[in-house]
Amino acid sequence: MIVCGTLLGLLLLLVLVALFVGAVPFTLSDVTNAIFGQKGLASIILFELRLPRIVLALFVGASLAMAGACFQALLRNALADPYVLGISSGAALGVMLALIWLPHTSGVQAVFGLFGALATTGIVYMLGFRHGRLMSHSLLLAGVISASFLSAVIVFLMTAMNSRDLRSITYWLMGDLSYYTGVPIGLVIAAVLAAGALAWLQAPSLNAMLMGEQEALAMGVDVARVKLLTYLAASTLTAVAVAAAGSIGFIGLLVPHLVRLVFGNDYRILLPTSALAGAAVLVLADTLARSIAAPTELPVGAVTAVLGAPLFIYLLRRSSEA
Amino acid sequence: MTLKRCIALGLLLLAANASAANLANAANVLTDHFGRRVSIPDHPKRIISLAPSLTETLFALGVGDRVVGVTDYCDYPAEASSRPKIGGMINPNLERLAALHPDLVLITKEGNRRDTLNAIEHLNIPIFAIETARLEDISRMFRDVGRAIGKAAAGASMAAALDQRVARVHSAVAGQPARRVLMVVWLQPMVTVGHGTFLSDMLDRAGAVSIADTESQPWPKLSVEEIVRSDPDYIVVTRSPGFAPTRDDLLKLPGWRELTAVKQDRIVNLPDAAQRPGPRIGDMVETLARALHSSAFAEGKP
Repeated sequence: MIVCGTLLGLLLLLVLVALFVGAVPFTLSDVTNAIFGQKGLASIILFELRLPRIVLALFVGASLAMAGACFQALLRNALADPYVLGISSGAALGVMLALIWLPHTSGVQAVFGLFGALATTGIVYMLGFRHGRLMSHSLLLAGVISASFLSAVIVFLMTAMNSRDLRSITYWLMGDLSYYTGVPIGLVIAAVLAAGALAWLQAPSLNAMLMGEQEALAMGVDVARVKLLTYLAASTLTAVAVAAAGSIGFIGLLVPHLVRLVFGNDYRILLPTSALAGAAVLVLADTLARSIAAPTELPVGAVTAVLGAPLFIYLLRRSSEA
Repeated sequence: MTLKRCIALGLLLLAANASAANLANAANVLTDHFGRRVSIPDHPKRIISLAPSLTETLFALGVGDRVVGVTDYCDYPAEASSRPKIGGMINPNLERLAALHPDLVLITKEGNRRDTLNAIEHLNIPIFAIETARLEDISRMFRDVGRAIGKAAAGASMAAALDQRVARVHSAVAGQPARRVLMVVWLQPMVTVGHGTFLSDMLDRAGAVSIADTESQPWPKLSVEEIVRSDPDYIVVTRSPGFAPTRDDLLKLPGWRELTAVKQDRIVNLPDAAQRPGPRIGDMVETLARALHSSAFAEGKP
């Protein structure tokens, strides 16, 4: 509880800092004027451009980190991340088809991306479901094969795209929070909260399953059901995140491991702390991405990797020395 | 009490009327090339251009002093480079754009994203979309940008001048055999011009046809085998910053040594203006026609 409270406090502080930083700098009085009702440039930039983007970064970061933690438990593989099962490739294919078929229709890319992600989730699930239950290793193999197949289709389609759509899809593939206006943020928040809660409810069972599926069965855990619900929650989190913001790398892999190194492997703590830490990392990365080279925006996915990898290596070395 | 209320109501109505009248006077409602109805202030004073071709058009219409923001790629005329930059065409910085207080933003259908248009529309900034897919769209752009910025006459005369010039070039090459051209937009991969783009229209008016004109794609990628098989009469290279291959560079490519056009040095270089559907396109059509059909323009013909 104390840990979560501290993290939440840090996160709020970060959001506050992020509100002040950007291509157009503001003073404290600009911000207070904007908050207390003066309609003007500051209020437009703060409340219509910056705040929605920060909110989206919070929820996308949280959902990617939680999805990564879930997939690492479900697939019993430390290298698992939200994209390992091809969900983001499915979303990318959906977005590309939307760009090719309906380049001038607004909001349709996110819908196609969501549909692609969910369709991939369903197909991979069917492929991974053998002998009446979800097998971790066949699920992982099915996901990896689907991901490489979908990537190949994406590469074929890319050769047929014009340069504008090619650049659009490249930005999308690197992760892009700059076009949040087409995303229904309320729906994203609702989906992330619901799927996050579903995942958290599985936490005690996931803890038991860490010792092995047989041991969990012996303790009375309905392993098949827990696996299904975890898969459902993690896939939904991933699908919503990629549909809203493209495939932002590294957070889903790195943040759960970071949190594990600090707080241990109890999923009841791991899931909420991952969510908070994922949100914080993405808000920080996006704030840097939109401000250090302004007016040019850097791809946020690259910033997360540059920030995250050294931090991760530092924590890993420190914990192995201890 | 009731009297006070009546006076207050009257004042309120007056104010409302006045502001409505102001709005009606101040705004023109024009239809952009997406078919959107856009309300634009009369003679906009703070214009942002989201494409180099639009920036060139604004300066050519004589309102360069009203341009307050351009993209990173807007480098012509030289004065345009000194305007505040709002980022690239695909990822303009919306905060920077809003901070420049534009009263009109111009955007293209081809080079920018629809998402960008939606985001700017969402900020209640008038945004007008322009299509420049074909050569005839360019004169339409001159007319419609002219209307949007309160320079309708200048826009119309620019459009008429371009149409006349292109027609003059086209009639000068009318009796000539059409040159089969490989137009090099990019070398690796080899991107050329297909059917239905302003570049294929430009070739047509200059008495030429792309060897990839049968392709259904606007920007087909051609294999070397296909290029060698069709053995184009001329190679036209549209240069851009960082892309200026010389004849020696072309000779080094596998198979290109065998092309008749390379052997006989029938290589035409065009500046990057050729890739911009803007005010310099008339020059490009004429330059290309003169290079491909020098005899048609010889002995003092127009």
